[in-house]
Amino acid sequence: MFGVHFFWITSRAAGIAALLLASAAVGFGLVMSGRLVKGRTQDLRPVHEALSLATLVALGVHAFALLGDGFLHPSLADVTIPFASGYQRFWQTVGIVGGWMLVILGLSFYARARIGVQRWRRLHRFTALAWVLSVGHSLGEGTDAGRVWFLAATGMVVLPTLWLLIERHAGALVAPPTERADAA
Amino acid sequence: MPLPPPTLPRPPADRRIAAERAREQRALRVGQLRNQVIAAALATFALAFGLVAFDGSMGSQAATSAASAGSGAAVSGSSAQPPATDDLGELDELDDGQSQQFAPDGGPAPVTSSQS
Repeated sequence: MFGVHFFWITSRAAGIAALLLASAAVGFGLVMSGRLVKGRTQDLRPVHEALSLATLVALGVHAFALLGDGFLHPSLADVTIPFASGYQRFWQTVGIVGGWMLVILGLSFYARARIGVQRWRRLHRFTALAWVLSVGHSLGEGTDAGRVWFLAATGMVVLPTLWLLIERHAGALVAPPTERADAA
Repeated sequence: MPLPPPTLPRPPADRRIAAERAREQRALRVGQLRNQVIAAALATFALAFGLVAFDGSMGSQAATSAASAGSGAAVSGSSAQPPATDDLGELDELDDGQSQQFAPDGGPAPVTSSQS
């Protein structure tokens, strides 16, 4: 039915799913770390974890489905190594760097005992940067970036998360030193 | 007036059973939450697939045919159409301006299109 476009459509759909799931995962993470929800907060962590793992699966499909595309014919290096691809090199690199950061920082959760919990927490904050890169990649290179449905779906998930992120950092910046010490 | 009997602490076995039950309930709830997230992720993917397939741009079919045919026709943008094979003879009859639009150097012109 979709013929030669099957892998292309699959990759794009997985990219959109990855963006929405990552936004939700980062949003849940910010809600958890900011202690913005009272009661049943123990349910947030498994949701955050499941969303993160689903994001990684969608990211894998997004990258590797492209290998089957008969038009672009990207190599494995093109979809995994920054600056390797000649197609939209800047945004492709932004996406690859963001993707690798999400993979490494996400899976580091399972090695946090080895890394050290405090150090892992500091590292884990860079997930927000990886998410910002992935949003940039999708808006800069995404084929559907101009579609109304894409902008509506993305806005519904990305904007609240962005607001939480700004709130978090603005709060950290304006909080008095004693409060910051307590939060840390 | 006799004092009420002091509240006895629950025996350890009861506490163990209660804790075990609470753990089981939590595991069940976590499992349900995970299943809901997986279902939501699959639904998101399916919806995105449908939207991309039926509403998203699939790139220029004209550009694809021009590239595969190697006809040397320059195609810019999705609205451009490569000349049909039968029409190639007519290109010679066009004036210079029009023919240069298709083959500026007389050689193979670059195909400027992308799968979008």
